[in-house]
Amino acid sequence: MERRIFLKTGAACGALALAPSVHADQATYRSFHAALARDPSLAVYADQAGDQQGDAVVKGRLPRDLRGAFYRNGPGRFELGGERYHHWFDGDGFAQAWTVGDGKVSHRGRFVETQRYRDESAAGQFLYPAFGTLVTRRGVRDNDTMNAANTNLLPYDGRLYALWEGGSATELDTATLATRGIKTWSDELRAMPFSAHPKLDPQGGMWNFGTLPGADRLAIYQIGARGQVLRTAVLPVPRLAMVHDFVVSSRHLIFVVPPYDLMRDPGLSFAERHQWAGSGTGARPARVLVIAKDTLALRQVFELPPQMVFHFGNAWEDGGCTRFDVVLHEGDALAGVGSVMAGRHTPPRSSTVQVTLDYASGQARTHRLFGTSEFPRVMPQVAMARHRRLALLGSSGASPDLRLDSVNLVDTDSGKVDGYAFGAGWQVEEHVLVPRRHARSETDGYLVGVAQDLRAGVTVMTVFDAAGVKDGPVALARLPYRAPHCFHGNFLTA
Amino acid sequence: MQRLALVPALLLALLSGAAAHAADLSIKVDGARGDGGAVRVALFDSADRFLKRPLHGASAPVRDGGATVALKDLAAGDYAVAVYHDANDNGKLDQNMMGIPVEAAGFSNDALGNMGPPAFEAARFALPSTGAAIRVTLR
Repeated sequence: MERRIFLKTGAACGALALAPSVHADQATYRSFHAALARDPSLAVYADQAGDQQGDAVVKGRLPRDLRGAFYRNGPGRFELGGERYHHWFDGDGFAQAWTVGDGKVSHRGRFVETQRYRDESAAGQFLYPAFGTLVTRRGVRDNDTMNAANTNLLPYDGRLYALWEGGSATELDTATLATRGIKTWSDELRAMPFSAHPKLDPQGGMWNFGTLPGADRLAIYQIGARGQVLRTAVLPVPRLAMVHDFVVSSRHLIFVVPPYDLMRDPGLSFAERHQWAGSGTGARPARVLVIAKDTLALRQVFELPPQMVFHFGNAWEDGGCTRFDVVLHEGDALAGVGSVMAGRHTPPRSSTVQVTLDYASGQARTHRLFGTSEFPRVMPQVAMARHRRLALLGSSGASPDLRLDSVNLVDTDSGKVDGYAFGAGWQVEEHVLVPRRHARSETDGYLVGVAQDLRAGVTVMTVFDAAGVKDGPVALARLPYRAPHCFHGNFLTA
Repeated sequence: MQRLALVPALLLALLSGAAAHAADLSIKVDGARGDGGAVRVALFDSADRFLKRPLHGASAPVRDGGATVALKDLAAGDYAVAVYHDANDNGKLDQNMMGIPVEAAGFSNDALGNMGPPAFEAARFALPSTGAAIRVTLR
């Protein structure tokens, strides 16, 4: 037998070995439901059962040239058998499609039928480890056994992929959202982690990466416009912790590795094993890794103050520097994001900055663009090149716990903000920029997203004119029901 | 009467004789993703040697998504079996860049580890002196 292979596999995965124990989630379940009874707005994080389908009522004027499918994804199932997950990132993917055109908007939502979803539905209880909840009722062949397919929904080359950062993409039907199965880009990439934030090159094709906890290896993929694997590489990165997103310029792939120590305790979930190492004596900085696109080799490492990073905007080359936008979080934001599962909002401590990497001096400088914020996006046609507008969700301060309740388009040169606050009683989700056909500028298009009407308990699709966000939405498409809160999505123009 | 009484005794003697020297193990493997290549089977007889020093190994070509492999003349006792589908016939269990096997593998009892092979104990089964037939599902 292949002793060596099994040994190597065992060693590589040793850090993932889990003890035969199950963390009780009944306490989380009780805590959330008690909190929900006091504060109905927490329904945004409630468990979803079954599929959804319905027509929205459109208020305002839906632009005639905004036609297509707005694909979004987020966790939908948080509870099973009286237990509730500990972390927001744990739930099973609930794929959603808003179909927009001819003055009408319809919505469809459907669970991604991963192995995990099917096995756990059949068993009536959680079986496998989730990101922030250790469950070890059943063994795990590999990372795809645990694949939650819950983070992003990407239309690509006529196909549709539900993405989760720890494993393979899952292909869905573009019309019905029915699950087709695990996507294997090539035999060598079977079961490789394929992050939920691939970057589409306006010239065609995409870049993506993958990491696994404890592997200290960063995999890089360049995929062609027809889905063919063009190039792959794997780079050793010591003390590699959770890396959720990256940013790509015309010449570089840029990663920020936050300062976490990865505990080897097999009695902890992946999230719990992330020990914040960014404060106190011996605090470590965040590391910025710059990888050259032409060689796929590490070019330079910069340091930033110790902060957590989830999301990036865009990157561009500026002479001897690379500039990019990133949302920085103070302290151990990974744990903070999860607390809503128990019914507790942790107010975000974030800001969006433009980072300038100066290769000659080796210094990374930051320039503040916006306060409390998240979910940065740019127009697709300026990706990897010079951009001047960054869409961001913000917190107006009108909502408790600094909930994200405003939509903003930030001029990254002047810092001027064109923004609209939904205000108290609303919680906004990621908004994406959709260019008009032959768009002549970054404001020649629409800012399209979703907002949760917390008082009415329903979900609304929003459309802003990117040239006048402050004027408020030009159209709101209101569902007769609440749809699960999504993380990320993409608009596919028809 | 006497002759009838002798038959069970003879049978018993024959069977126990066989058990001491020649228990056969038939391993039916299924769940291969497509035909081609071979299933490669390794037999282990202790936790210490599990996935390190197999007692026996065998191969068989894959047909209709599976294969049956026979190991003969084994001593009765406890064993564990590890199997993989060498789909490209290169003689090794191929891995991806993160060290995860990309070819399907399986273990006796259909035991599963946690992001790695299971423990010997989870895959352990008893081979009686009369021999046994087991099934292993490739995953």
